Amino acid sequence: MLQHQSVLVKLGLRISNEPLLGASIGMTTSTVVYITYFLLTGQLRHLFAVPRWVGWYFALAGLCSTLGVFSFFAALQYIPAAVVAPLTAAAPLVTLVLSHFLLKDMERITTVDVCGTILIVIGVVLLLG
Amino acid sequence: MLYGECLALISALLWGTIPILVRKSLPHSNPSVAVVFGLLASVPLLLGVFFFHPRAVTDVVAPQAAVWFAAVGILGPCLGRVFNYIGVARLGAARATPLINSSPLFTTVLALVFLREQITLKILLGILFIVGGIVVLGGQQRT
Repeated sequence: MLQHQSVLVKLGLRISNEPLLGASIGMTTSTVVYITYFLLTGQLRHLFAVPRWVGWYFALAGLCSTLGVFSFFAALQYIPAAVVAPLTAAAPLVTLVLSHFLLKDMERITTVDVCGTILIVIGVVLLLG
Repeated sequence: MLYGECLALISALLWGTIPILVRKSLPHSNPSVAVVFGLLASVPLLLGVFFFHPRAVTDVVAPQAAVWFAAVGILGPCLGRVFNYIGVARLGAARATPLINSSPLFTTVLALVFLREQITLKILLGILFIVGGIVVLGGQQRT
């Protein structure tokens, strides 16, 4: 995730402090590189073999990722990164709650899952806050 | 108004939803196809950023910076997303997501080792909590 800015992001931002454009350049590059790899390895036929609803779910997952990045940068215009990053670290808690309600047939959430998730979220908040 | 806080929480909500969508749909296809669909769906948004940004990209982003940003793109949305989706499919959304999001642990440890950054009580506690969480989730995985 983008809130855990890697060393590479920091190197780029040190030269040009334009996080939104930087992220967009990164995502555009990945789109071109990955789709080229996908086509060159002859995987195009898999794209058309996907059931329509599955394709929508995949597309929605990609949109959630990109919109999440944009929302993250929009938040940075109002509050400092030290506040934004710990708040976005709550994402695993969102997944945990949604899993309980939406993945009933696929996953069983245990008390240990909840404890482990809470420990990691607290740890990340401490490191990023 | 708490605009900033709301926007940050919207990010968490969006990022927290991804594993659910992936977990439900991936058994019917493969991670590579999932990544391609996601990347293609985001193209209009990216074009929107480039067209509607108040300043031209070439005016504000130096070529050297663009190289670093492009490298992040290859590692993150390409490789990172493929492994992320495989993790969610194999471990389950609820178990894989906190492990994926524990990456600040590695950034911090690398900074402590290679950049000789000072360790504070807050950092030490953060590391202990994350390691504890990983042990708890990982320990359960074996049983």
